[in-house]
Amino acid sequence: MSATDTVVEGVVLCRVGGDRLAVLPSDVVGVELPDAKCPYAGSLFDGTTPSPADARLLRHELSGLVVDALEVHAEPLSLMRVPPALRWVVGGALMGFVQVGGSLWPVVSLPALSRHLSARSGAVRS
Amino acid sequence: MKGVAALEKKSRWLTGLSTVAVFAGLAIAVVYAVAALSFPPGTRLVFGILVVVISVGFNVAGDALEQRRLKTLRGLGDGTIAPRPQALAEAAREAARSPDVSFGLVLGLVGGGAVLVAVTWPLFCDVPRATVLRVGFIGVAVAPLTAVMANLIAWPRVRVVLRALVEAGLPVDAAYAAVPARFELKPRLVLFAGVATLTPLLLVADMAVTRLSKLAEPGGGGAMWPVLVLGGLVLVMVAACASLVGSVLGAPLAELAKETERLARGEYGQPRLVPGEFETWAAAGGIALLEVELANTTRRVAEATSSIVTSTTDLSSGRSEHLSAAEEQSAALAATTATTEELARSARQIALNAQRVSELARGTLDAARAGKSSADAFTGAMQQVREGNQAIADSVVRLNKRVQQVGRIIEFINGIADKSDLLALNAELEGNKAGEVGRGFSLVAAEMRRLAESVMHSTAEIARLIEEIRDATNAAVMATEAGVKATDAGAALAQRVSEGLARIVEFANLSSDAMQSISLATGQQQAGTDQLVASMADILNSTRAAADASRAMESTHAELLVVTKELDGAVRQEVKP
Amino acid sequence: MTPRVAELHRGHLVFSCGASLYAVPAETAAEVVTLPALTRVPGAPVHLVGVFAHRGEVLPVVDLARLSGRPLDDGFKRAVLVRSTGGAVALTATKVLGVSQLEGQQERLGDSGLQAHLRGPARAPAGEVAVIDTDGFFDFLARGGA
Repeated sequence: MSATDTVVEGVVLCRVGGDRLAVLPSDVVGVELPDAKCPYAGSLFDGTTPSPADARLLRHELSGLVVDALEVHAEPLSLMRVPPALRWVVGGALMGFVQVGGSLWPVVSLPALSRHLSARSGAVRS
Repeated sequence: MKGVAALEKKSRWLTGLSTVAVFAGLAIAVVYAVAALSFPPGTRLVFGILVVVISVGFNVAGDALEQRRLKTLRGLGDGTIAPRPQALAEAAREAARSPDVSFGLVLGLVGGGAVLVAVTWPLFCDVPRATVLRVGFIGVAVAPLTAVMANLIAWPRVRVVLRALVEAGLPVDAAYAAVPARFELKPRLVLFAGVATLTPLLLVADMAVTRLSKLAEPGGGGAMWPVLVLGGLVLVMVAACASLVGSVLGAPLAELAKETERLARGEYGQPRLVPGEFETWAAAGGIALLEVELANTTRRVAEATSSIVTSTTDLSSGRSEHLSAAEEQSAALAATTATTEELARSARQIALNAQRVSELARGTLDAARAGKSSADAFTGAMQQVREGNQAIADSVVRLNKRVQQVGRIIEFINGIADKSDLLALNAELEGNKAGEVGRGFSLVAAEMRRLAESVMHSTAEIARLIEEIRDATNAAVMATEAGVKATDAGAALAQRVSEGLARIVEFANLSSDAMQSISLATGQQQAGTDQLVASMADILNSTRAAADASRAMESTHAELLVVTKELDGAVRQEVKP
Repeated sequence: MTPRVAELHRGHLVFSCGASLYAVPAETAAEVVTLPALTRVPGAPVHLVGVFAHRGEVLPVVDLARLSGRPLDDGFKRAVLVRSTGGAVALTATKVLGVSQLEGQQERLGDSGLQAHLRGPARAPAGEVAVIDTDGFFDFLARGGA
């Protein structure tokens, strides 16, 4: 582990189709049932629609993100840095990567992602 | 029927004369009583009444008994019984017994009547005991004479009744058979003579004693007329009896004499009834039987002669027919002999053919046996092939497993080679980065890479080969499975073929046996036919000889015919009456 | 950037991606690796096929075939780790041919996109190769591949 790596006190691990995503617990106001006004995280990968049965909304203030399933990983993890080639993606909302269960999970900032998504949707609408 | 009409009232008529006899006897008794007895005053009337009442009553009773006994004859006369032979024979028996029954009845009734008068007379008036006893004596003395007369006068009437029964349909021989012959003429004549003599003697003796006692009495003597009348009556009765006895013997004998004359003249055919009594009846029956037998014998002789004439005539005409028939037969036999020879030739041909067929059947049997052993061998071979296929299939499966193992090993080697390649690649890279110093290292690393690549090429080749082997083994597995199925089907087919051939062998065996039997039988038939041909030739010769003999017999038969016709004429003349 | 023919005489790691041969200077080629399972990154462009952790570092994997507009059907087994001042990326490789000395030019092969960061025409023993201008390529990636 690099010396420059930071440590996060747990993450919320999210499943989106066959892909993985993680957010910081501190960014999540609450977990709710999906809301049609909130974007689905699958759109960040291949734009697929959410699974209707177990989908959950990670609420953040007025916005949020819909994922297929989620679990909270409460232990401290080192946050690996984002390679320069990827710093620009999702409007810079990608905070880094954590390794859980032998797999890498991209960690995104929920506020930044919400802003990026609402900006993108606004750009699309305009 | 005229015959049946002749029987009408014959039963009454048969017994009618016995009443006459009874009253004749009664007249004798009464006359004698009046003459011999001295009736006390006032007793004559009572005596007369008693005699009339008892005699009439007894006569009626006796007649009733007689009529009751003659019920069949009476029934035939009334028409209440059909005139069948049995009924007519029964009537003949009843009629024949009639005279003897009349005798008994009259004897009893007259005697009994006299005793009854003697018993009852003193009840009505005072009669001296001696007078009563004499009345009884008179009755007992007169009764036998009366009975004999009743018996004798019944015989002629019996003859008339028997004739009437024959007229009514009773066969003459049956009439003779129905009434058995009794050889009692001698005792009867002795009885008649005794009665006819004794009765007048008794009466005359009594009369004489009476007259003598009257003579002794004062004023005795009395009239002579009753004695004369009595003597006259007794004589009449004795004369009548004698006449009747004469007729009993004479009339049948006269008729029998006529019958024998008739027979002597050769006028016999149907026997005639000659009614008679005792020995004459037996003689008449014997003559009738003789006539019947004579007629039968003559008829049989006539028939036999007639047959001989017919046969001889037929034979005579038949001889010429036979002669021509024998010639035809000879010709036919000649033709038959030719046919038989043809048959013998055919039989020989058939025997030959049967022999060939038998050989053919044997050949078929051998072929079928060979086929069956081949089929069995084929079945065995199929089984071996099947086992071989199974072994191949098992081997292929094992090979497949080994190939899979090799595949895994190759994958493992490939992985190691890949890692070696990667290592060598990175080593080469690092060597290159080290510049001149790392050149040797790079060269070694490059060599290692080529090695690893070579290994990977080899493993790829091996993998490809393994894939091919896998395909091939899969194909082999499928092929062997198909082979096993095919051999199974083939084995089943071969089994069926073998079973079919077994049946063919069985049938061929039977067929061969049958053909051998046929061949044998045909051979025997051929021998038989040959014998038949020889026999036919013999028969032909014999027939020719027989034809010659027939010709010789022809003349002999002509002579025989002449003799037979003469005999027939003689017999016909005999039978003619 | 001025083309320097002399630089071509230094060692280059030559690899193929699809039908094309590419080369990177040996000193920038950190390592050749077998690609593990990749983690996809949300919102990433298609040529950034995913990331993997390698020696405590998250490495993005760039598919040159997709980047050149000619995507391949089958996946990649290997990748060439290229490191420069702009970080490190893994370039997908159909086959790594090894370190070779190149001959030829160092001219830019195009004006835009990936072509703008390729140099040539150069020749390796295996055939004509495009030499990747590492620094420019990294900048290009950091700008989002546009």
